[in-house]
Amino acid sequence: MSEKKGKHIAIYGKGGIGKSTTTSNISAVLAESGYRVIQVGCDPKSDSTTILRGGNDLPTVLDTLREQSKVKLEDISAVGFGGVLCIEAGGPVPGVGCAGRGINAAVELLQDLKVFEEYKPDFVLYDVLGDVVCGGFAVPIRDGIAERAFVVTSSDFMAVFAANNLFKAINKYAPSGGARLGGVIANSIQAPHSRPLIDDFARQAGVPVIGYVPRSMTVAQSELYGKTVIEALPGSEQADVYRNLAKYIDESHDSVIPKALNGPELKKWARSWGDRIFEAETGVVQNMESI
Amino acid sequence: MSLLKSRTPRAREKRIDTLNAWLGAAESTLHQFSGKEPEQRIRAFSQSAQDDLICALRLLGGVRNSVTIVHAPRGCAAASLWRHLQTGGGRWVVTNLDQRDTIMGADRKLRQAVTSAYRRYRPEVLFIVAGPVAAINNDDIQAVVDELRDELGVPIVPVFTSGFASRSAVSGYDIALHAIMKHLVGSGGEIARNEAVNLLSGAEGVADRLEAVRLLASLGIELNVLPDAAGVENFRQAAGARLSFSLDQDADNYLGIVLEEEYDVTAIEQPRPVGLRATGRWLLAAGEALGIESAARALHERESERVRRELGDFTLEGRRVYLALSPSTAFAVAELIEELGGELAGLSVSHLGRLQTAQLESLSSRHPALQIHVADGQPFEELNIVRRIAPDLYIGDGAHLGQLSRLGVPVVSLENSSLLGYEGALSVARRISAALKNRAFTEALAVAGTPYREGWLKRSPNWHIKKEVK
Ligand SMILES: Nc1ncnc2c1ncn2[C@@H]1O[C@H](COP(=O)(O)OP(=O)(O)OP(=O)(O)O)[C@@H](O)[C@H]1O
Ligand code: SF4
Ligand SMILES: [Mg+2]
Repeated sequence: MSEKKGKHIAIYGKGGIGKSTTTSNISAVLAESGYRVIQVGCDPKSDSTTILRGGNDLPTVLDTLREQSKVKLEDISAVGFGGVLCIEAGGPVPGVGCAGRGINAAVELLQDLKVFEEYKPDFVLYDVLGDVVCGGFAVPIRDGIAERAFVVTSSDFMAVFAANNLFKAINKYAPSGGARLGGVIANSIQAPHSRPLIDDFARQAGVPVIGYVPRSMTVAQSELYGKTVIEALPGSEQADVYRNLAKYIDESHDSVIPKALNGPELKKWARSWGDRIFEAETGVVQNMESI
Repeated sequence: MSLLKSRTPRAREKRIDTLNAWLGAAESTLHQFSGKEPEQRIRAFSQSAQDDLICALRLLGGVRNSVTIVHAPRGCAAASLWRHLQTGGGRWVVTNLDQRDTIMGADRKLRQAVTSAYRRYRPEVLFIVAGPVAAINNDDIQAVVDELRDELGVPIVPVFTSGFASRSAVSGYDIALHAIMKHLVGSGGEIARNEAVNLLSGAEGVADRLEAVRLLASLGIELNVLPDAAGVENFRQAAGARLSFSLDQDADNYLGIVLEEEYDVTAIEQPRPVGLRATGRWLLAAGEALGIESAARALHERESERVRRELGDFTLEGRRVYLALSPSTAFAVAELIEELGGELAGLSVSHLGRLQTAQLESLSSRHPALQIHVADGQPFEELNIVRRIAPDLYIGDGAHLGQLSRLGVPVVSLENSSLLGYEGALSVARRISAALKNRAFTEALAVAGTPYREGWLKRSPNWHIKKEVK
């Protein structure tokens, strides 16, 4: 890998959980505060940076590599809101090839093009598809590409499960120079139990929750305009939530190696929360219960 | 910025614009390198060619007291066999990855292989060479290295070849050298300076290495020879040496760069010491760098006098010679052929990058129309060219001798035979003279004809070399 330029951060989380939305809003805030930011979508869907670019077309790195042998940075990047440099790794056409290797190749190309040396970003955010499904998708947290990873989760069990898988991967790779965990971003907070559930999960793993993003109509509304909340509704409360997240990522350098729960532990933990939610819904009152 | 930070060095085609497919006059070949980047060509039909794994294994097999673990399915280990059969050097094992390993990852198998290889052979260093399967499924080699290095207390060096990431097989030399320096010497630490001069010898036969050592040692130069036949200590010592002097500016180039950029050891690159003139220049460059020019000059005069005497009236006058060799060797032998009075009929080189621009320039100014063919493997192309040119002699590295002999052209193989220095010049002259005299064998072979049909041979030799349309 080439010399680290700027802070390289990977955002993971279950599919559809809000990674791209959250990442794009964080990029927008960082850019707004005057930082040079690159956001790299590591996802064959290549929709990571859509709301930074007003929905305009951007050829992916892999599509471009397929079409031409010499690729220049201009071919594969677009300048989005606030000057964020948007790049989509892309992937093979559905049903063939290996998407993990695609991400690998895309990141290698960026290093070859000396994007980080020449563009001199303060932040590079990698928005990485799904949970860690295999060696390929772990690329950004291996080999010292990103130094910190954050995981987006809601209080849905499957999202927590995916977060726990990421913890396992970090556990495996951090000792040999892989990324460490910066913290958990709680997204789509709505139900009363959401926040305590995520808090409890994070406590078990020994990791901080760096922010709580409420489920909000402003997100949906901004998305319909093809914009981040920061751009579409800068005065909204939701915008401030993203500003605080970005501020944390900017100012804090803390990172940990999380403790991942094993299968039975996770099941037991989930069951205990099932019981608690059931009791809350049915009105069983217990002392000291905060939900 | 430290060169050694990355996992692997840049592939040759990116680092020095190495071409792998080309046919054209020397002048237009040179023109390829005059602009920013040469136009890469590809083959629409290709016969066997080497890959980075093969080159890495070849180089690592020469490291003294080492074991190489080929982390790949069993077939990939065949590449190790080659060197084994050639020189008997280098112990190796293969992890024999199977179906299950490609899905689940194979760190357990790798751990086992490293541990048992270590227990059995107690080597000074273990290399783990990644094959394509490990590269594709991102097997976590580094974790195994980190864990076992401490547990076994022995250096373990991961070598991240893939078999596909670069079109130039020689990238494998660079990858292996990068890994060795990164993991055996590292960056940033305190380096103890010493008085030795590094002799970089990465792809030489034993006779050639010994000839170079003989010459430099007779000038009183204290030598540290690497990577061939070197042990762990030689690599560490290299980082503190006075300067580096290379035998092959193609194979050893990257090691010289690392030593210079990472450890401030100046690298002196001279064309290979092949033939009297080039050997003289090579010795003088060493003499100049070390302030012993007159001794070097005296040695050169003495030795070349002896060689001239022994050569007697041997001459290649009136003989047209075709060369098919690695680029630095080909350009060097070209000079030797001319020195011996012969005429160049054409050149096939396994690859061609910016390392040879100066030599290409000089060749092109002497013979602008001389045809240069770039191909790794590809016996068909080579045979087709040689058939048209009909030279009086073919000198190659051994790979295609069988097919080429069937054209009835006398052939000389330089594989595993002495080439460098004064002894090398004599040895080559003797072999050439024998090949030119003993024609019966190739003539008998020629009766069998070539393995290709007339229709194929009618096509131009560059029929399959296409511009990449993208
Ligand atoms: N806090 C929120 N409030 C309301 N809607 C949200 C919130 N966060 C995300 N969404 C919505 O959820 C949907 C999925 O979000 P997004 O595309 O960011 O997820 P993702 O994790 O990137 O998905 P994928 O894994 O498919 O890439 C989007 O329509 C987005 O607008
Ligand atoms: S190895 Fe991983 S990235 Fe590659 S195809 Fe399989 S699941 Fe996808
Ligand atoms: Mg997304």
